[in-house]
Amino acid sequence: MRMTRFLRALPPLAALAAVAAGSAAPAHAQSLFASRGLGYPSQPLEGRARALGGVALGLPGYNLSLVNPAGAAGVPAPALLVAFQPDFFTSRLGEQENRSSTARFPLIHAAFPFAERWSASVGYGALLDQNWGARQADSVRLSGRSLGVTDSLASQGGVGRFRAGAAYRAGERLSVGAALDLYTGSTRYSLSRFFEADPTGQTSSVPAVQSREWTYSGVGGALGVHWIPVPALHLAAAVSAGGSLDAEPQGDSTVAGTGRSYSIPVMLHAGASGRVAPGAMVALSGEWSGWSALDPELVASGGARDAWSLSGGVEWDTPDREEAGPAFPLRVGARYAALPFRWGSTAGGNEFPTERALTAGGGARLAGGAALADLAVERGWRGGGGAVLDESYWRLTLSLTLLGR
Amino acid sequence: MRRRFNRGRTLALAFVALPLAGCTDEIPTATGGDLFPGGTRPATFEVTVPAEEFFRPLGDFTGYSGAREAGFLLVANRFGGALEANTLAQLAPFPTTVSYTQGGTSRTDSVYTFLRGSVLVPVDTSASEAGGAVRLQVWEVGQAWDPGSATWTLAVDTAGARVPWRTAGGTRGVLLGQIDIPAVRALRDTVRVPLDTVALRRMARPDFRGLLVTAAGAPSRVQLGRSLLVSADVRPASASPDTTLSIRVAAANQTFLFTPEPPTSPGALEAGGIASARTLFRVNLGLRVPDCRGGTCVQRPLREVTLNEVSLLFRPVAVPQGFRPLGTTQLQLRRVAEPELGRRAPLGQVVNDVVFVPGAGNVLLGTTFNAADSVYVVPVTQLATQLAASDTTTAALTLLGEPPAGSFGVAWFAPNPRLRIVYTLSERLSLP
Repeated sequence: MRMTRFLRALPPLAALAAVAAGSAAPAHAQSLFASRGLGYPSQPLEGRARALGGVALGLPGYNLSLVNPAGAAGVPAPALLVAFQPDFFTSRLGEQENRSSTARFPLIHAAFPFAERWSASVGYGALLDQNWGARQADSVRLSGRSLGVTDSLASQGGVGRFRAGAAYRAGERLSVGAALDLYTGSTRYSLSRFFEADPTGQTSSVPAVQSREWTYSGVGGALGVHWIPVPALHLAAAVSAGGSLDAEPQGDSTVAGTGRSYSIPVMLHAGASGRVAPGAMVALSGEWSGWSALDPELVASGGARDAWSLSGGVEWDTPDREEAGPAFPLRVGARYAALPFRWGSTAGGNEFPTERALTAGGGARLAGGAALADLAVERGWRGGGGAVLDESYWRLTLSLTLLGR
Repeated sequence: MRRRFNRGRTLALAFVALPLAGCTDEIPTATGGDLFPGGTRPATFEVTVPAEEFFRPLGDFTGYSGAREAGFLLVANRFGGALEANTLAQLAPFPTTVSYTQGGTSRTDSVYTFLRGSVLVPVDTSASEAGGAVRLQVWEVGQAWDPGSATWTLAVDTAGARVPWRTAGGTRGVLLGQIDIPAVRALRDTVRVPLDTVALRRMARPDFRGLLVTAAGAPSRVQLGRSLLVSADVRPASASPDTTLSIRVAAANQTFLFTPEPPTSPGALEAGGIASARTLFRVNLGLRVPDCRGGTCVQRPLREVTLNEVSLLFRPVAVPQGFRPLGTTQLQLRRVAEPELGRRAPLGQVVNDVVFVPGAGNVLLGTTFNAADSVYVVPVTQLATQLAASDTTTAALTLLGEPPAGSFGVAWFAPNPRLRIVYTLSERLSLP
């Protein structure tokens, strides 16, 4: 019966998935910090987790953020989650101010319950954003006169993660999960020099354009657990790790050069939530990523350190609706994160940047539970620590979960 | 149940579709050299290559056109100490009747009298030059002539007859009119040479042999438009005394005669002019340019650099005997497929760089040679890029006037053009 309903829901689900997949690069531009190291780390979270400051595991009920493979356990029906994320950010680099906006799909995740206690899931989420650009005006002296030029460097692409996993409910209080991660993506660098028009009109200079592209591949895995020691308390942990992230140059091998290989860091996640009052839940989580393993490989661009973050949030909901899940919950949260890649060189005295954010949001249970919509608003700041770049941003996360029942 | 699901599905689709309408993707871009990973800023250089390293002349050829193919007429008087040129024109017949309206009635009269008139001579001032005041004179041609074969010395030069002019340059008959031009460059578009009634009556006779336009006074070369006209005010015999009509008679056949023949130079590269001179040459772009980044210099083939601008630099040299270009001359650089055929080598595609100009479309660069310029620049970046990337780095080219006989003066250039190469070197982009 469930399968029949799911099949009936497949066309709209497929349409949504196609839209999301078609629009989703591994990550879209969201920070100039994407120019450092391997890029700006993206979090494949849905709206509820975002609104709670980034707490994506240890929450009551199933959770389709791409963090804990055990999060899909207990999904009541075939489900598809799509997250959409508009971002408005301002970068201040020295005396420059750069305002930009973008929109992306950081997460798409489907889960299917089967054999009573099992759930299978497959998803795609952003991992590293490598979209950024630089521009510099200059002049060259040709035939005794000065001619203006503009240099521009654009990096487009990033790394994403396909995850296929399975979760098992060992009982009412314990779920475990495991997943296979396939890292994928590409980066295209384009370096251009444009010349201003010849004032005499005699000649026209052809821009110098150099492009190179690398594609990424790698394999990893993840394990997760979700434990409910007492009904009011949820604990969860997840770990992901892998071998190497291989970057292979594309195109003519005589000019493309050789590829590179980076260690995929171990990432640890832990989270907990507790009901502190009727209708009120407090959630906390922490994350640690061993990016320092890449420090020797990235030393020329400033190096890397282990990254970590702490998140916390509170969710309020009507108490009598708890059994059926929140109907119109409200959430607030905060996050503090240490970013892994240094801005500038070690010699320049620049330190590693941090990120702070305050979050808020809400949810809605629609169509008798067939659709869950979650909205998160995030106000954040990045930089500090001596970094010459400071950013502030407003980020919206809209996620929709459709259940095929 | 089904109804609830459909509502949810609708909401879901709207939930995704609405934000998509505003979906953008702007790459955050900052200004500053610091953001370019070490060494990735491009560096642009310029070199000038001497002729011996890339250029080999294959020959100059001329005589592809003459006065009859030209889009203009010419008069000249001792220009450059040597050039003489006169214009000849046969007139279409004057009208045998004139029509007019008097008292609301339309009338036609086969008898009319000339009141006054003029020869309208269009002048291209940008292609004209005079050392002082010029007297433009209009004569009746003093003997029969053939517009299709007349030369400076022959009035008729056909297979059946060769009749010399009694006076070289066109036998002069009666002087019909003249005008003094103090400064040719200050002229407006058209000069009016006044005609009296005697001259008009002569011109209207069936045995009128045509007009001979000459220049006298200061040394001069005056380029005329190919549209001589005779304008006359007439009064029909049947009309009231205050009635005046204007009639116009166009030239039916026009040409010009000149002497001496265009000069040739064994050393210079020739292009354009009344005889459509062309220079054939071969370029070899199997060149190397220096890469001196980092304190040490290495030579790189052109295919390893980005060619921003490659131009042939021709240095104009003086043209004797009054055949130098005046104003601007339209030239083109074309490929030549079989240069060994010499003067009969077929022309290939134009190789001047093309740029797109909004409102004007694709525009060829370097097709206008200005006689006042000290260097004639012909951008060939697209050709150079193509040659640098191919196995065959040489190409046979020709520099020629376009259209043929588009100007009277021929452009001469020194036999050692240079090649200017502006190129950019970029560090190989690499991952961090």
